[in-house]
Amino acid sequence: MYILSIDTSCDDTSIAISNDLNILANVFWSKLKVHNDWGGVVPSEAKRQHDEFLVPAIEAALKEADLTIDQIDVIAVTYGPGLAIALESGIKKAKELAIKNNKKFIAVNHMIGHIYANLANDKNGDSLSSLSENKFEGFEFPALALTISGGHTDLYLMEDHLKFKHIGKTLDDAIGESFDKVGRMLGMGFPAGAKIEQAAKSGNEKAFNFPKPLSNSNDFNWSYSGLKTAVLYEVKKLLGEYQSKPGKNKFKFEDNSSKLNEVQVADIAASFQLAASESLILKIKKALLAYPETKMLIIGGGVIANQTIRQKLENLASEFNIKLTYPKPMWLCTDNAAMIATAAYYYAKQNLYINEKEIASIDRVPNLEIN
Amino acid sequence: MQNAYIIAKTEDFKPLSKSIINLGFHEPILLCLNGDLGAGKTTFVKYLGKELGIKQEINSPSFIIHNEYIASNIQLHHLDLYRLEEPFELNELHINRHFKPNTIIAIEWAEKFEEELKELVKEHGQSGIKVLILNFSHTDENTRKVTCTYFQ
Repeated sequence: MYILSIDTSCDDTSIAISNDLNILANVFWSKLKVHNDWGGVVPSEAKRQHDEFLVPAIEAALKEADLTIDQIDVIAVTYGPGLAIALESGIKKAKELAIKNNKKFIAVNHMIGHIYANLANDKNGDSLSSLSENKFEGFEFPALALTISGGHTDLYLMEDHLKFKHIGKTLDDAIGESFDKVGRMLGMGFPAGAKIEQAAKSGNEKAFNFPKPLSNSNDFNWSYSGLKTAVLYEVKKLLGEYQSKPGKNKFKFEDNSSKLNEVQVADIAASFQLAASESLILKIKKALLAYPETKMLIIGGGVIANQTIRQKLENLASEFNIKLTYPKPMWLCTDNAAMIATAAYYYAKQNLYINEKEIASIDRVPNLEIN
Repeated sequence: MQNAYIIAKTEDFKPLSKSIINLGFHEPILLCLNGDLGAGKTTFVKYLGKELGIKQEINSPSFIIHNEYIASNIQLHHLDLYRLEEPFELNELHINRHFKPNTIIAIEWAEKFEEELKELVKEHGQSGIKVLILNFSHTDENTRKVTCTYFQ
């Protein structure tokens, strides 16, 4: 079964083509890329208005997969969660393709995509999961699925394929967002995740005792806003006053955190990373104790790039003697359309197609949850 | 509407939220939320949402940029311009398509795009929309201050 998938949930336009679970093509198209590849041929500036990227991106994906649109069986598209105006572009294009070419249509939840990214194979059929060298045979249920990214921190209990119970969530900021915002306080640009990790390597993680909000609560929820604010107060103490003003480019803020010395930056980064990662692990551990039948821990989202968090998740999995899987390549962890195609394959297996007459009325759901 | 509110705990957002809701919804309400990281902008929108009867968890839209919630017949649009760095990015959001009755549009980091937002209000007609500027600041580690002004 050939699936063409579209993801325009936020910043990037991404198109993938799969044959069942094998990813034949995965194309990313962004303002930057258009300018690089086309030398400014695509006329207007656009960042999150995906309309003008979609046609060339679909053409590029078909070319890479060596297929024509006639050979595609299913059109799959992200319908939420995400930025409304961005989702609308992708959905509109997907509907057009499906109706005009008489294709089956699947509307995919972006977060289910992140979880199912673990089941994607490369074009030769080799697994792209971190478990690929250990005879990975797919999900084992019951499983706990964790999505950690710039916009999400969620924990789900999975009893079976596409059967989710949302058991944990952030009440304010996402974990990836807290890395980015603390990065800004430390004078690092966006995105700051990798820079914090780098700076933390030479820092003392016990230099500051940052809070782990909600660590004593009996639920599986997180809060990262209080941690962010605690770091801000520490930066203020060190600097006398933390100031942030519009810089030369009034849309970019400049702050006085460049006055922090290297040791201070490293110590704050290390202490923050400790608090952020420990509070993440703490609740997953609590969930593993509450659901002792759990056989697998499934991770999706870009924050798995952080080696400290990855190591702690690996330690936790061995402590409970369960399997841990996350997508091996980084492009499969961050937003991409390949994961949408992979999820769509399982939607298709359960016959979760949108009825032909209802395709036109499919709408975006910016704050879509997994029920 | 008072000129300033002192916030020591979340419940202290009640008088401000009530005043906003009491403005009525014949015209859209645009809330420009300014103030530094951790000053309480998102916490306020969470509180306002609860007062409006929104059941869903409202969290930070810094990454997603724009989220929307519905409570009975009121729509809450929650935006965050934190990650936007160029004027055209604001245009792409087409914020003014939500300038409709029974709608609150709460925009975090509005100050970054003050002129652009003023322009949108002017195009819509200033009498057809209620615009409030809320400035959030830290007074000490446990209290925040919110000052309110109307759009000029």
